[in-house]
Amino acid sequence: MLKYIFRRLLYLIPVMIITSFIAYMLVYLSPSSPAQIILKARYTSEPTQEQVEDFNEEYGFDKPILVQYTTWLNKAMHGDLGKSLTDGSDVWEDFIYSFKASAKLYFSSQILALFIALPIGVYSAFKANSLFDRFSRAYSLVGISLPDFWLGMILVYIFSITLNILPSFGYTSPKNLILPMLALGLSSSFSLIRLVRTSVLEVLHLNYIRTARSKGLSEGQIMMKHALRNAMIPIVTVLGIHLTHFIGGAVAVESMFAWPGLGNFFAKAAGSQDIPVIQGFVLLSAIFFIIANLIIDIICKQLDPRIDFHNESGKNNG
Amino acid sequence: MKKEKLLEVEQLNIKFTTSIGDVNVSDDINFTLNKGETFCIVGESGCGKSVVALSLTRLLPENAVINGLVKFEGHPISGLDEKAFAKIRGQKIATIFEQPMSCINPVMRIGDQIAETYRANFNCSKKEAKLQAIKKLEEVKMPVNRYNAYPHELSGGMQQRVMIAIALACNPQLLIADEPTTSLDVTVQYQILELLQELKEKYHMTILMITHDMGVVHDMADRIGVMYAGNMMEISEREDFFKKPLHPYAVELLNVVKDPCHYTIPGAVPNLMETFTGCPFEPRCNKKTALCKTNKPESVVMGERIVRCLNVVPN
Repeated sequence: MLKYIFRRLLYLIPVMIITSFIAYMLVYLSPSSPAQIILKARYTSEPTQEQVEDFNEEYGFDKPILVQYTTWLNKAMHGDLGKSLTDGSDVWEDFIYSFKASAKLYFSSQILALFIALPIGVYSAFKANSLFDRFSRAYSLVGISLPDFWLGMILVYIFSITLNILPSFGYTSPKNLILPMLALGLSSSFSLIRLVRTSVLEVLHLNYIRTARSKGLSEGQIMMKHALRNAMIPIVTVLGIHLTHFIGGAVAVESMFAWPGLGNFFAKAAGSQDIPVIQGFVLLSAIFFIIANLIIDIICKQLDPRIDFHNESGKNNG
Repeated sequence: MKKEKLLEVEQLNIKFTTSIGDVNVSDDINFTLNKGETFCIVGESGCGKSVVALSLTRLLPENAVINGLVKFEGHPISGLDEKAFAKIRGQKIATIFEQPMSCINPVMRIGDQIAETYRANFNCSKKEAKLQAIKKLEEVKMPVNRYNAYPHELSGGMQQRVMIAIALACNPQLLIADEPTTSLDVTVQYQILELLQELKEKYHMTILMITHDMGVVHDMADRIGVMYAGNMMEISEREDFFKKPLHPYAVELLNVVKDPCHYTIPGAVPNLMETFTGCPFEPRCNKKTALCKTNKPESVVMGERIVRCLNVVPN
């Protein structure tokens, strides 16, 4: 197990180098230069040739691209991710700040989604084709078709404008979290309800459920001890895939509620070609995803003993 | 000697309602199990043997409609509600299935699965249930250190032993074995049958075994029921059956065993969605008469034997 974790962490090195290199190249390939954009923002007018050259020299943009990249990589490996070109703040600190904001929003909304989806999905599967099941299926189908930011707008309309009990944007108080969390959590709960329902329903038709029944267990015991545990395996896998929403998926909701999360920050940095910020974010999010996926894999292994870490190619099965 | 009856099945009718119509898998089936005997139901695939067996403990899918009277130890159990019936399952009547791999929970330790059965039926501590599970593992001749193993780590034969240990966790009076050896290889089959026989004698269990293997029937059965297309064609003691089968279908089944390489019963098992006006075996029968097509045979009781055929005349 430890050996496996160590091996997976070793993957970090090539992945980090490749992703950061590609990110660097993409910025380089874009037609505008960072100097143009940043200086224009700084002086609020078209910069002179002299200013551009000074800027490029100061940040090393006059050097060949590979030299720029290796210099950055060398510094990054020593823990120095550089400073933002736009406001001079430390990239590492920025990342941690917005990472925390993202984590708050993401995990609270996913937990909310699970709390909604698990009971509804399980009960739907348990009483398949009942009135409740039909209603919950229709409800989740409608829900899936609603974009999360639209839900956010409706929530703002109800709670901020009409009832005036919750703030519509901001980050400072815990109250600020509620609306974006509801918007994201509700919108991911809809698809989760369907997922839970199908996985539980699939398991309920398997032979070992019949065995469990033949042992004299009650329906509740069968559901909790036999069905749910097996049904959780695909659910956790999909939740792991959903982790990508951590950055990309929440951009609309984050910008709507002015939530200083990763998606929001990244979008801003990309718009202003803030190379150190883009690079730092790409690198750190790659690390985050690799570690998060590793954790998901370990949870799956805990749920399903048939997963064999040492035999990933599937040889010698049976 | 008057034999004590453990299970009586009267007028058992089972049908499956499907989107393309009803399937009748059991047509007025009657049989009884005496205490301590092994009763084998034989027949080709698709005759409704397993369905009859699973219906006794209501383990059929939801689209099954079961009618008829089932009495266990003299008490009717077919009318009990689900809660009361759950107490009979596991504790009084246990079931083992074919394909043990798919029938035991893949993500639960085998020992826990045995202990769970015991705990579900007898209110006891976890520790006590665990001790009982270890005892059962010993009884089915599994190394006790496999308590923490997962099903996929075991061979097919071992998995079937676990299945048996789960079924016997509460020392049931009746064990329903639905093709317990079908998915196993021949040497392991023999070991499993021997184990079942041994445990049966130890606990004075009654076994209802479903099989299509005449060898198994010959080794295990005290009495035999021959099923064809949802009908019980013949019930007889083992000696009589192998010496002189009465129903033409039973005769054919034994003919196949005598010469398995060359002989097959002509034709195939009928589609159970059809309704039969005459004898369901009539199209394949070599002793058929004109009456067989139109008249449905009634059960004829001849001492210990029951035969459902128009051409078998009571002696």
